[in-house]
Parts: sequence; structure tokens; C-alpha cells
Amino acid sequence: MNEEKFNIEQELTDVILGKPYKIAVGEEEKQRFFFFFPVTLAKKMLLQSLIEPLCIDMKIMVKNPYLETLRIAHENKHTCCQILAYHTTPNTKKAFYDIDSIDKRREFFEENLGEEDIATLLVVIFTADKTKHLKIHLGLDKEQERMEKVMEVKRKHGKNNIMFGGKSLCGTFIGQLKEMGYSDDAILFRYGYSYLSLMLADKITSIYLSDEELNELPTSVGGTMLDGNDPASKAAFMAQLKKSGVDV
Amino acid sequence: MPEIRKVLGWGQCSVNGMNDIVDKSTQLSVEEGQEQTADIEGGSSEGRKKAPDKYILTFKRRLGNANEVEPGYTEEFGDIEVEPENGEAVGVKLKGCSEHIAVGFDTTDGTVATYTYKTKGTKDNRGKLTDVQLT
Repeated sequence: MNEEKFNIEQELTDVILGKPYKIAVGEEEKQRFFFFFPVTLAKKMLLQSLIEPLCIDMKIMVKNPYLETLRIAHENKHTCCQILAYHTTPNTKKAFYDIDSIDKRREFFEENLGEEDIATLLVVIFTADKTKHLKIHLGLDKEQERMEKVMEVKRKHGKNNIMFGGKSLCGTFIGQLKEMGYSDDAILFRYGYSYLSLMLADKITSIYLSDEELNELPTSVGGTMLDGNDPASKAAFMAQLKKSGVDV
Repeated sequence: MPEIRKVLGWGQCSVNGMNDIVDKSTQLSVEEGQEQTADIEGGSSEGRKKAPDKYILTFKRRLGNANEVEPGYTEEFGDIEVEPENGEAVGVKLKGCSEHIAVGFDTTDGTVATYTYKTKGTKDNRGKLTDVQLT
């Protein structure tokens, strides 16, 4: 197994197991250990409202994340420590609503972390989400594209079907997971958002297509129509022409 | 009714030099010629004859307004050639086609002209189909 593949497998394992990351804060005798837990949907939504006002410059964030997190740590130490406090909150509903504990952790971080330490920890949490990376590696992004093409054909042929809903997280993400048997508590507070996203994206799904519908889709998607932009289709097209009686 | 089956579809391509084709709208279908048999009483098929396959090319162009093209049918249009963007990909030429142009409106592309070209199933003296070729 090459190193890149090993790392991806390791990342996937960490996501599935919901592995927390241990950090140490404070000097010697005052030192305490905390864990960064996977970000749940509830945390994600709450953190969004804390992160948005920080006006993170994404261009700088991509080029030099430490520089940007150092700026926001300098300008918004209180909010940054609040973010760290939520990331170190265990993934249970009780802990999520335990405002006193969250405030205590925030205060401890404010007292014991310098701007540079906060910036370093923010880089860790801002770059921890590997969902997109994993989806690309596992080919789930391509599966999504394939499914969209199939659904396009299905919609075209099933013109008399009218769909409703699916306009928010409630109907899409939460609704689908509930159909799979997850409770509200598990979706919102227990499992990492990344894990649940991968679970939905990689869910085994099959869509029945009639022969006519199948013929609307290119072979690359699983249909029977050749892709004219793919040079590899040439041989199959020549065979079709030969069948029609063309001298090829 | 003869069976019409889609054979090839192109993402981006030009057709007879027209470069404003709606992405993924160009498709080549085949109308398979039906087989006719002549039976004799009490026996197996005596004679078989298969009508030639006819090839149908369809594509769409977005229009600024509906008057840009003249809708209608032309029996003797001539030749039409699909040139994919990638020179290595599959190009096709249909010869001696009829042409049909229809103008319509859809919510995605606005006013569009749908072009349909159909070969006549012309054969040479060896019985080979000559009005479709790979380019």
C-alpha cells in the first residue's frame, strides 16, 4: 500500500471511529488535557454563527492558514476561545447544552493560550474536515454526478411526477438519515457530520430504468448510448455501422 | 413501428461549422430497418428482406429570437457532419439527409431550435449502406 493510500485509509478509519485528537493546554502544573471531538451537525451549525463574523479571508486561508488564524486570534481572542471550547465539548446532547462547562473551558483557554497557540489550534480544527477529500478519493463525487445524470433522465421521462420538499437540511440530510434509522439525537449530537455525510454519499442506491431511459444515458453512466467525445467509443460505433451494413 | 435507438451522444461539438450547439444535445440514433419475410404455406421462411437502417442526427441551438431560423422540412438538404472538440473522438457524416427544424421554448435554454437530420438508407450496388460514415 503506498503512503498516500495508507493516509487516506487512516483518515477514513478516523472518521468512522470518530477519533478525538488530544491537546495539552497550559504550563506544567497548570497543564490540562483536552480532546478535539469530531464536529457534529449541532456543533457545525453553532460554530457557523461564531465563525462567520470573523470574516475569514479565504484567499489567505488557502495560501497561509497560520497567518490568517493569527490575525483572527489577535482581533477576536474571545470568540476564538469559544470556538475551541465547542470543539472540546464531548459529543452528547447534555455536554452540548452544558453552558457552564463550555464557559469554564473558554476562560481556561483565554487565560492559558497565547495568540500563537490559538492560531495553531485553529489551523488544526479549520483543516480537520477531510470529507471532500475522502469523497474524491473514494469516487463518491463521480457517483453523485452519475446519479444526477440518471435522475435527469428519470425526470424527463416521468414528467407527470411532481416532487415536493427537500429545501433544507431537515428534508435532505436529517430526513434521509432518519429514514435510515438514525435518531435526532444521533444525527445532531452523537456522530460526526463528516461520518454521516460519507454514510449518505456512499449509501447503496439503485434506480430502475426502462430500456428507453437506459438508452438516454451514456455508457460511462451505465446506459447504452456511446459517448461521442470519448475516443474509446470508436470501436463500438464501428461495430454498429458494420451491423447496419456500412463498409468500415 | 420501427425501433429507434440512440447510438452516440456528444457533449461539446460543432455541426457543419455551427459552434453554438447546446451542450450534450447532439445525439445520433438509428432507425433499424424492419425485416420482411415471405412465407410459403406449410414451410419455413422462403425469402427475407431487410430494409436499410436510417440514421437520425438531432441537436439544439439557443436562439436570440424565434425569427433567427426558418422552421420547416427540407427533403433534400444534403450532408451534415459532427465534429467533436477533441479531434481523436468520434466524428460522423450523414449524406443526402432530409432536414427538419422546429422552434420551441424551454425553461433551461430559452428559445431553442431543434434540428433533425435523417438519412434515406442509400445503398451501393454491393448492398452496402453509403449515407453514413465515421470521420
